[in-house]
Amino acid sequence: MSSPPRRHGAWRRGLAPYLLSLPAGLWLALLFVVPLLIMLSITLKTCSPASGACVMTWQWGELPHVVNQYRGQFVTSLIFAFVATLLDLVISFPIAYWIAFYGGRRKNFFLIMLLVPFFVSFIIRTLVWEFILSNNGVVLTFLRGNHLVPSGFHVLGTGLAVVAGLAYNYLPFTALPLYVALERIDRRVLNAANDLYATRSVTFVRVILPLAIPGIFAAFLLTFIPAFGDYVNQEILGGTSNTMIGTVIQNLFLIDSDYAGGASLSAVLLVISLLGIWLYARLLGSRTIEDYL
Amino acid sequence: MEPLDNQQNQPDAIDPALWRGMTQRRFTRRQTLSLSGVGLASLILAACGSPSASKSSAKVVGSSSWWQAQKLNHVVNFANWPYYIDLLSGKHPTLEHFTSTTGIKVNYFEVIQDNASFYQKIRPSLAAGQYTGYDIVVMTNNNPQLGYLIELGWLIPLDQSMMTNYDKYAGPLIKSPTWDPGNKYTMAWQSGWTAVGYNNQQVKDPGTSIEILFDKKYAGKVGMLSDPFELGSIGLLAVGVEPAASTESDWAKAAKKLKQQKSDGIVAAYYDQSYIQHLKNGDITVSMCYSGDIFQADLNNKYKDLTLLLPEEGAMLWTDNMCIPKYSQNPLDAMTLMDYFYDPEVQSVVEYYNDYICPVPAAKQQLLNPTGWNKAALASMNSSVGLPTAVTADSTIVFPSPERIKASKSYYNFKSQAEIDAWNNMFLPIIQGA
Amino acid sequence: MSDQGTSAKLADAVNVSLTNVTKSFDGMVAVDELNLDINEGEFFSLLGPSGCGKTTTLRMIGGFEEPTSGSIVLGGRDVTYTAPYHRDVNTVFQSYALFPHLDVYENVAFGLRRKKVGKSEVRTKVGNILEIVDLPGYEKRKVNQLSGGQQQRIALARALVNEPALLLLDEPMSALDAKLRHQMQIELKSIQSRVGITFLYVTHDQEEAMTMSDRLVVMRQGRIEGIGSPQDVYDNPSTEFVATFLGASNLLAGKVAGQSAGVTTITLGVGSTLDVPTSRLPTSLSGPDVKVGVRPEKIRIHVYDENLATVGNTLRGRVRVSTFTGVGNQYLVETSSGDDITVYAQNIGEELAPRSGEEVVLSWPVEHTFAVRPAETSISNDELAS
Repeated sequence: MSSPPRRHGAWRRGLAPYLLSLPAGLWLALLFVVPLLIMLSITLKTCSPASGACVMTWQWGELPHVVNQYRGQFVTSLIFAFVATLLDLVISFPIAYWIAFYGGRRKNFFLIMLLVPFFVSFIIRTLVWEFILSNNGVVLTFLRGNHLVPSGFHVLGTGLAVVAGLAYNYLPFTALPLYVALERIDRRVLNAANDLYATRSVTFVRVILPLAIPGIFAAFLLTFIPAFGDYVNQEILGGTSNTMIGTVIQNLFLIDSDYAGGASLSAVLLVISLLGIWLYARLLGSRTIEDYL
Repeated sequence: MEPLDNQQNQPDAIDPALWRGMTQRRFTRRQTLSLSGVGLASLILAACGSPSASKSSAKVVGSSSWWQAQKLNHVVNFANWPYYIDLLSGKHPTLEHFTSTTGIKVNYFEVIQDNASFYQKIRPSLAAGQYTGYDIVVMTNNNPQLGYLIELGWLIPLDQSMMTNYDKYAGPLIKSPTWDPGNKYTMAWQSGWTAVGYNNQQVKDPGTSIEILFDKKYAGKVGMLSDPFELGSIGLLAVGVEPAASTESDWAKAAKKLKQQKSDGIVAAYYDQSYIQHLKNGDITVSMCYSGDIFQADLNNKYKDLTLLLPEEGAMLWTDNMCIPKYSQNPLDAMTLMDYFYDPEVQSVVEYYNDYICPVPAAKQQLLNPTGWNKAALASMNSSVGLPTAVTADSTIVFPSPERIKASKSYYNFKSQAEIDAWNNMFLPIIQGA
Repeated sequence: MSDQGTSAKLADAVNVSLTNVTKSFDGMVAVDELNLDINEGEFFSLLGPSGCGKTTTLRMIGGFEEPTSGSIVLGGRDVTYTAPYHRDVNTVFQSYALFPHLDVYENVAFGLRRKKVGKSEVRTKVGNILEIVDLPGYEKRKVNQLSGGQQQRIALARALVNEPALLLLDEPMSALDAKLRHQMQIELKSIQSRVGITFLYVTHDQEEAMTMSDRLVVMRQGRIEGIGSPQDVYDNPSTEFVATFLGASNLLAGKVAGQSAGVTTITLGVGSTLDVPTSRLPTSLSGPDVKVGVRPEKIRIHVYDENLATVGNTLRGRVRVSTFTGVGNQYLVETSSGDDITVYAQNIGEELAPRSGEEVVLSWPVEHTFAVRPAETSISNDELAS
């Protein structure tokens, strides 16, 4: 006779976690899932560039069509983002390593120094980068003046400039997760490695590097994904034959008003990014992702 | 309830478009439109219903009876492109003068960066039947957006009876243009050429031809514009075709020439407005350009080497047009302001600051011998502009010579969305190369 | 011949030798002119409160810190500035510091792999050592799936498997609960006697140190305060600090009054005197001031009786507090000179226990009396608490 209320209570208790997650769930549904579904549905619609009105025409062919049409831009983006990310890893690993292990009491100061350039707006930074790399800019003038490069040498408009811009702009996305990963390595574990006859280099390869792997992967994802979809660097620093997929999407949406095409390319971009995250979760466990976000 | 349920269970209740989509490989937007036999306007009608064109036939928006019913609200919201109106220590003398004589306050917004993105900003309001927040917007004739606005009935027809200055002073170059015969919807703000700019220190023998843009001598140093309509039109001039009279096969020819130019490594990049900075920086030595940019750069001693070339094949003449978007709350105030700018005294002040083609030829005399309030205004602006008014008055860029008028070419007037798509399919892949 | 043999053997017997080792951090002296010899096969403890320099000493022997001056000789080789990975020393760290990315097997095999030991030998050795630490079959476990006690054994195995000349243990029990700690103490001691490796054990727990050590030193402020076998150091503390830090002591301030027949008489304030064997007097007394000490369990307590016959040292007093603890009685007695003395009497059911307020006589044999030099710096409660 006392069991019904108790069961009721248990039911309520069982429900509690779901009720608690309701605000976050609604938030996610309203601001992520719904827009995502709308975007996906647009891939099947025909839209008027004039009025912006879309009619569902179930054109399943749009996705394969644009993927095929812009395959080259996808490949370019993949290569640029990949090279830029690798570059970032190579550049920021020693920086993060140094701050984490030798920063001492001034770690926070060094971290802020690392981040200060990134307090400036993304666009401004890229424009300044354009200024630096321009033919009459400081760098090339100096190099040409000292006959270090041929007189016709230029950087702007080349893939090199785009990769440099990407690498520069996304450096904090690499450096910070790496720093977190290295910082959290227990110094006593390194002592233990030395104690067990591991020299500094062996300790680095056998202990520091494996322990930093989740951070390296997180840094890779956090850098690669935005760099892959980036549309600013190529537009400002790139030339005629290195258009990235982000620029194409931007043009399709904003200039060409081809919403179905833009949405299709965005969907592909999303799938590629999700693949990366899925791979991370599979290899390193989903818990470690949170640690770096 | 019952019939509804029945209907839902019917397999033939499925949207026929779904079957089409699943059974046929792919429809391009163009095919979809042509197959279903709908033009641009009917697609919009099908999509969201007629905005309000057929409502209340007694007072059709823009009719003379409608205009008679309008009252002055003593305020007007004006959206324009940046750095496009006279400026003196943070204020606009012509607008100040307008307010002092008419009592109409002008809220001037420099919000238009390019036609497509500005159009996307105001479109949702127009589609929803709401005021865009602007009573005057300035749209260019070389992009489809102005055509969209006209075709969708999203512009209020102008009150022809209020265009007294316009009728008297508007120049032949912009009066009753092909894109708006009889100035039913638009009045020109300023015009300009899309032509060739080069650095005369690096280019010693520019010649007179548009072929300079395709010269291998300048490989990697040539800038082209990323706007497909500008790029395509220049391509058409280069293959010897009048853009306004071109056909799809001409477009293909032009595209081929432009592709060759790109694959030969002649093009450094396809630029938006930023080309001028690259020209100044020396990243490029020759470029497609907008006439006013070169003129303005020349005013600075540092960039004196930049020179404008209107090629013998012609230069594209574009016009930025003032128009009144539908659901405007202050149409009468807007109309008053638009005609005000066609007063030569007013235009002389605008033009002293601007360096584009003046829509009012009589403003030249006002620059040389101001007769009214503009005398004081021009004098006070002298130190900030830094050049005598005669320089502006004598510039053939501002007040074009007969040869320059003759060299001015019109853009192609698209007759359907399908044509726009065909054009884009031709020229966009060149700009968005992988 | 035989002399030579003996001396060679004696030289071999010393495993670790620290000579005048000093370590300072930013001008703060952590270890001050330390001299220490640890013998082959010994279980040796460094005991002291936190900040006494014991861990710094261990880290210098392990190679994780370099001495500011002095030298460290290990197995006859000067290793003062040798990198840790070139020393035949292994360490069990306070928090175990197991490699979180490796399983148990790889953790234990880590040192052997660095020494390029053959694969099959590694397997045998790891298997054996896991037997010894009582965790056979745990090879494939992840280290973060192990309990604290198990992690501790793996840390021990990881160090022992390399058969180092010296094993350093840095408070290895501090993360374990009391019961487990007690069990591990016994186990550690038995492992040590089985493997025969010299253990240098750092702890702040005096009971732990006394339970396991063959010899120990008590450190304070970077210096050695006492050295010897646990019983030696306990029964015959060399300083006031050792006397207070190691177990409970009654220390009474007094002055040396006279000596006769191997016994020194010390006067305590108002007339009462205590005798101390002269051999247990500190050698380096700078004046007559000394502190006389006796351990609470060495004192016998009697209810006052005029006819009571006592031998050795005698003090009269009054019981202030009497506490029954089951195994015995603990008394706090105020003597006529005003000192408080703690007495611990075992519950052997012999006499009637004195009650609070009763007049009592305390007595103990002279040979259980010791005397120390008064500490130059006062001993804080913090030092004793840690």
